Amino acid sequence: MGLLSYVARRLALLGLVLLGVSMVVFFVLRGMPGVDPLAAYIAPGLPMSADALASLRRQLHLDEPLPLQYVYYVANLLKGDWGYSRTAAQPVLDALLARLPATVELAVAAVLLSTALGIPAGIVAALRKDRAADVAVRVVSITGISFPVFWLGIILQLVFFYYMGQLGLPTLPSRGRIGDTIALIDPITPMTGLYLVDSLLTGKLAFFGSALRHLVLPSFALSLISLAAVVRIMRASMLEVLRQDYILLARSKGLPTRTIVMRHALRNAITPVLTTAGTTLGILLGGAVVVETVFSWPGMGNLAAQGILNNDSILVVGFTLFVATMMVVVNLVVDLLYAVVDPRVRY
Amino acid sequence: MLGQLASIRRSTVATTGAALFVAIFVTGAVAPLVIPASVVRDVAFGARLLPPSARHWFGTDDFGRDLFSLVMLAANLDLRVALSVVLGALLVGTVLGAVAGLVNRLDEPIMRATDVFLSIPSLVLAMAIASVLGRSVQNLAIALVFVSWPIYCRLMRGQVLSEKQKPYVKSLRTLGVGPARMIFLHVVPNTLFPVIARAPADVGLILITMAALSYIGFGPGPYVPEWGSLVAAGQTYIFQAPWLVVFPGVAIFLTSLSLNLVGDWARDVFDPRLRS
Amino acid sequence: MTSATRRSGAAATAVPVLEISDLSVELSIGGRWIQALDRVGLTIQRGEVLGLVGESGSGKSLTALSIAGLLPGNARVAGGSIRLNGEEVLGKSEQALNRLRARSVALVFQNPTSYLNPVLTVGAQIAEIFELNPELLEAAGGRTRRREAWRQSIEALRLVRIPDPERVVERYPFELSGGMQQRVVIAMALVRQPDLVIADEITTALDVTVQAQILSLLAELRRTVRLTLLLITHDMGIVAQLADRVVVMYSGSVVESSDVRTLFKSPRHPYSKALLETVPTIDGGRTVFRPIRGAMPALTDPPAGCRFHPRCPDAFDQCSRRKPERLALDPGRVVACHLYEGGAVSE
Repeated sequence: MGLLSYVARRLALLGLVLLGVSMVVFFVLRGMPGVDPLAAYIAPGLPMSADALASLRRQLHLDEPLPLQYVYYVANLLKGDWGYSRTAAQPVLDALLARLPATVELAVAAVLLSTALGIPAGIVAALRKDRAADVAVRVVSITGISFPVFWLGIILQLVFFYYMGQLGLPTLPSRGRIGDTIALIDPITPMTGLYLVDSLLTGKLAFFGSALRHLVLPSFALSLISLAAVVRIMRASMLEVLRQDYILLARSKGLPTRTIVMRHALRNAITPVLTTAGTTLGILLGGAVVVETVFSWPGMGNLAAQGILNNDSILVVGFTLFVATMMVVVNLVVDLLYAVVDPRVRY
Repeated sequence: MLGQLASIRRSTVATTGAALFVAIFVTGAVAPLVIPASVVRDVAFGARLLPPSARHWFGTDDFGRDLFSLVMLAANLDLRVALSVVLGALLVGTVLGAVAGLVNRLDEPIMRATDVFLSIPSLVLAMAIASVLGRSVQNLAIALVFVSWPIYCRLMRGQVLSEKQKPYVKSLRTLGVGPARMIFLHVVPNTLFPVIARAPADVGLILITMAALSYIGFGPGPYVPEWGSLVAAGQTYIFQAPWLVVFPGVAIFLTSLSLNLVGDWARDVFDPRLRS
Repeated sequence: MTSATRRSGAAATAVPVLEISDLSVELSIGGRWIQALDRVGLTIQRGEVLGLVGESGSGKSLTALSIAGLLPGNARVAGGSIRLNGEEVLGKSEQALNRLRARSVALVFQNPTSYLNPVLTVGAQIAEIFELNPELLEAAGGRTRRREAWRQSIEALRLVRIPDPERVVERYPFELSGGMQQRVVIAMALVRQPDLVIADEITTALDVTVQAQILSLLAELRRTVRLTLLLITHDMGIVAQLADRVVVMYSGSVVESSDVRTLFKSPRHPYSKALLETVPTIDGGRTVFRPIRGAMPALTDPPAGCRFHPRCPDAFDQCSRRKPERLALDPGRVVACHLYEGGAVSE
């Protein structure tokens, strides 16, 4: 079977999963027992006449049977009409897309951090199984998953912003994406919306520096969510690979340990880490809600958290649908890349 | 020998974790009986934001309330929610999973639903559900059950399917053991252990998730002590009175750490794939 | 060292390529150290093919792994000596062992599919051997080392009679048949021009027709590259076809060693006799196959005295009491059996 038919099959599957996701989200929005779906569309405390309510209900097709409502709902989604957010005072999809780059920048930084730290740590733990280094890595990773991330974020602010400042040491910013002054005196023209990329493309190094410094604490806090998972998967997978016969043959060739690990084991052992990248990203986008709130990071998650406080369910549900779609698409991309890299997958 | 040493060390660590959890659990169970409810209600503005002292071990909050009492009382709510969520998810998940594994006709629909649920990040889905249901701890718990069952369902189905293949099932069948008796007396007990082995670590995860959701706004408000809300309330005074954030956070951390230590050990013992 | 001894090897006072004496190896099973090899001894001269036979679990593979210093983590050498070209192998540093494996001793294993790395091309897995042995690339003649290594890899594939080696060298192992894969592993062994090749059940995992092809390849290589081969097998038929001398192992010890013709004509040890009877013979037009009754004892619970006595048709009271000594019966023949002590039994 060729690559093309594999892609076609995966795309069909993608459609089915997205259909399922939209059903779940629709059920959450309209099918919850004891909840009038109309409530989501009205600001609490806003006085409305019974007539006005009835006409709104009709307008939103809430008086139709559920299956028909679902058809209207999906049709609207496809048209780009995801509803109106009171919190953002703009259509939900526009509001989310406007804040997408900030969240992507944060999540990508966290993915890079957790893989850069987690993969070597997992390898070392596997190579030194049950020895001091392994025990240390396991203790650190168990401690890591036990940290409530929002709390860790606040503690990081306390230490690296407040206490370091009190001691006259260099500090790291605790709020936002960029320094206020820099954003005023030397702004960049947004292209991708990713500050690090845009500032480099336009050659504004001061802006880049400020953006990078702002990214350090939130991305570190966020990376901790997936770090333990990366370490654990990498360690288990490396142990599994090191038991394989082809490693024994490689050893019998007289290759030094470093070559065996880097050339023979790593490429086989790293695939489980890569194939879970989509899921990891989903977990990180969930975590981003919390981390963005702690660090006042102007991303989608921060907006969704404000939506919660405003009882703006249209926004919160829209955010869920958006994140789920992202995760499904990223999973597909990862699988396709994997199929290109390793031809055995297609068969 | 080294392996043995490591497994002994691991079980001591697990015992420590279990002891720690039991201590926290007992504290949570006893706290409402020992600590008068007035501690939560009574506001003393004269005693606002006092640092930790012999009188107030964890200091006082912005209402002048004793933080130590609040953190102890919060253990009750947080543990109750985390335990009932995992229990509920375990019940729903294992039943659906067993049905999928045993009834061929229902296998496909149940598993497809599970796949869809697993393709949505659980914290984000829980947010949506809780937001539609309305902000309250009870609705938060319902939302968390709603997003946590699929993993047990998938696990249980796999267990049941592999158990069905084992020779003893066939030989019992030839002995004339009926299907119902077979399922409840033989198959289910054998499949349940690996599924339950996940539970301790999941209680820890739910505890953290719940505290996080509570921190971003699903919390019960200032008059019901809850760890995540306590952290959120303390964040306003973080540079003035850092203890308001530190102590509730340490409580969450220690509870979840104790559960993860037990969970790590349980996974090693019960997960047949990791056994060498 | 190796090339010097290789050249002087033809002299009359030949140092054996391999000389194992009194090798004992223990395995850790359930926290207890179990004796897995009991004072094993064998010798291989240059250009000789030595068959090492016995049922699975008799310690053949453990002997092979000891020679290359590749014992698994739960095994340890408890005594004895392994000399390669007169030089002691046991106690060598990991670095020295890597040198030895890179050049002097090459292993070929049972199941080629699991012993080839799935993500590296055939060529990459052969050519990496030259990285460790740059002296093999002397004839570079202006070519870069890399290209010369690649060219020699193709030549090695040609030597093991792989058709179209220029294309196979670019292939991944999963694209080749089992027989071709095993030829690749044999090519890897040959490119280092090793002093000793250890072939551990190399045809067991293959189809019968492919088995025959690999065996005839080995027979051919014996003539063309003057292979010194330790041929490990449970199949007396293969021994008859290829070996000059044979060592029979049972439950961790050598029970008989002899030249092949003598052993097939008049086996002495009852186990050797039984083993020879497992070779299917054409008897009046019918193929007769007689397995040995009983099973090999568990290493954790070996019988007292001679380990073969519970299955031995000729056992008498001595056999369950004492381990038999090794007796040199005729020149070049050693048997460990109470039947032959003090000339108790004659033919």
